[in-house]
Amino acid sequence: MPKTKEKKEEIVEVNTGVTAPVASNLEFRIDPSDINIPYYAIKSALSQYDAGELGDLVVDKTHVVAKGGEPVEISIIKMIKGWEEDVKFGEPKERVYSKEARDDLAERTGVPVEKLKEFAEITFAIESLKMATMELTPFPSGINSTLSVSLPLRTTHS
Amino acid sequence: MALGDKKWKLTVNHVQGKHNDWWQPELAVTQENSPQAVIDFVASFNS
Repeated sequence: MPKTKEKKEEIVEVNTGVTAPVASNLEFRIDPSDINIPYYAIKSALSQYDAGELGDLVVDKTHVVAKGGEPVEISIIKMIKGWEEDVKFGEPKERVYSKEARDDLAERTGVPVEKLKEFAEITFAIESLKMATMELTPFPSGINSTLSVSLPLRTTHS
Repeated sequence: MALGDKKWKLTVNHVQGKHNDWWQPELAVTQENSPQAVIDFVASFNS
């Protein structure tokens, strides 16, 4: 019986520099601490920066996100209802975020509940402009910046 | 329905009062649905 040579295959491991995905990084999860929250403001006559014109929504005092009077699409992330003292502009005021705290504030200040100002604290995201993004805003395309504002409780439907 | 399920529009409108004027931000909800990616993002943000 002739002798046969057994062919051996050698397995060579090649390092491609690419890490194989594992269960923990297959899905990228973010939380609020991953989000850069920039400073937004509406340009007014008292604004002490050059960017934009009156009524423009300006981010970080340098880039115009939306022109005054022109709607910009947003996504609401969360909305919290609150109450605050009705004081003159610039004076300190207390804000509360529950009916129990509202009643307590009214009792402590002697102001009737119906005289407290209702507001909504809204956090929303603005989608960055897709063209010439880096020239217009310091953020890449995508939903990546959030804005918290307080608005009187009044919305309109379009 | 969650707030993030629909697209919203933010507009800074000029308001003219009797003695002064100012710029006021206003929100309006649209009838257009948000993309599923946005809905998922909002859900993960709040979880």
